[in-house]
Amino acid sequence: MHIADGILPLAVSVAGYATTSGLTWFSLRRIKQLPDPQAGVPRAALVAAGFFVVSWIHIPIPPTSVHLLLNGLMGILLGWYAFPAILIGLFFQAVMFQHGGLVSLGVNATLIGAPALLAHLLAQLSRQRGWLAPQRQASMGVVGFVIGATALAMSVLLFFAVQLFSFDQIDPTLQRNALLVAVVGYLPLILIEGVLTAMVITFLARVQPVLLGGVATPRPELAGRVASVQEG
Amino acid sequence: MFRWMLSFAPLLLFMPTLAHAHGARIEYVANEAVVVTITATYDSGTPMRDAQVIIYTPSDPVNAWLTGMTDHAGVFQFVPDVTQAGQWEVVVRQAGHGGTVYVPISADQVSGAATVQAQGSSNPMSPMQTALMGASVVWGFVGTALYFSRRRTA
Repeated sequence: MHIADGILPLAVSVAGYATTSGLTWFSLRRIKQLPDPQAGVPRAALVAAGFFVVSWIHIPIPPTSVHLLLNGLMGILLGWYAFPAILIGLFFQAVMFQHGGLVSLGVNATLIGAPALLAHLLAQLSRQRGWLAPQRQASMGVVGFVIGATALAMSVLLFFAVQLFSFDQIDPTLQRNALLVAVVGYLPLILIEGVLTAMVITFLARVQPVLLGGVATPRPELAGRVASVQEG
Repeated sequence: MFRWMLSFAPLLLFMPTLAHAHGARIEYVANEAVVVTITATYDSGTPMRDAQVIIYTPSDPVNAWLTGMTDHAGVFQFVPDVTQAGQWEVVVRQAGHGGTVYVPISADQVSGAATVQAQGSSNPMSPMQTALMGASVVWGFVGTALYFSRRRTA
């Protein structure tokens, strides 16, 4: 999913930096409006570490290999912090491992970060509708799957849309066929990411619902114990 | 033509080069007959078969000098124009994956050089180096988290 330097024309790379600058500014502005902007930094740093590591886990889907992104999960867990966290993670991947590149950093941040913000908005909508309530495990699983799969699907679509601009010196038909094969390769990953997102958020709903951004509602059995302790 | 090429055989500098790649490793070997062999593989070691190869001369990095395709083993060979000394840019692409490797060809080495083997890779780091660098970045993230959580507690 990370586009390397030298693949895209300069104009596309500049456009990527422009959109990334805009999205970073908007995200930071929204973070600044929060009651305690620093409250989400520790969580964002830890999730960014997870994002950084997860790109090493390659899943061989011939003729290529793909890796997890989990940008949907980042959107759910981090909200507006997701975009800066992804940008920093991508920066270190590019600098340390040439995974992606500094010239294409803006494009890559947009491809992965914009769907994370979409995931955040979808999660907010789901919270308002009560679909992400910790006590509704089934609906939470479905919402997690939909958001995780949608975020990656959007990244894949953006990835291939951007690739359309890189046909300058190569055989367009061959490249189009290769892209088509790669799209098919990403379909299983979209399902895997959806399932992983659903599993993680249903797990967090049981053990640490505060992380999902909702109100910490104790489990019924725990709530009963708390009530009896208070009465005693 | 080929004999003419052979007369310019020892033209190559042999220094490993760094290049950028996404999920791919591009290597080259330039041998005595000034035939540059490109080997393209994914991170997993799988050959990049039927990937597109674009080659640029040092003097014209915009217009492709040669285009072609890797074979089933991810290999592509070409004979550079030895009169054009400098960094030859070889780009390998396949559906957004790929990388760039720079092949140094020097006119200074036309005569007298005995060794003309040249090798390079787009990913010269060992697995241990990669793991250590990754761990240091992760530790940086964890340290950031600890710093901000401690500030909040204080």
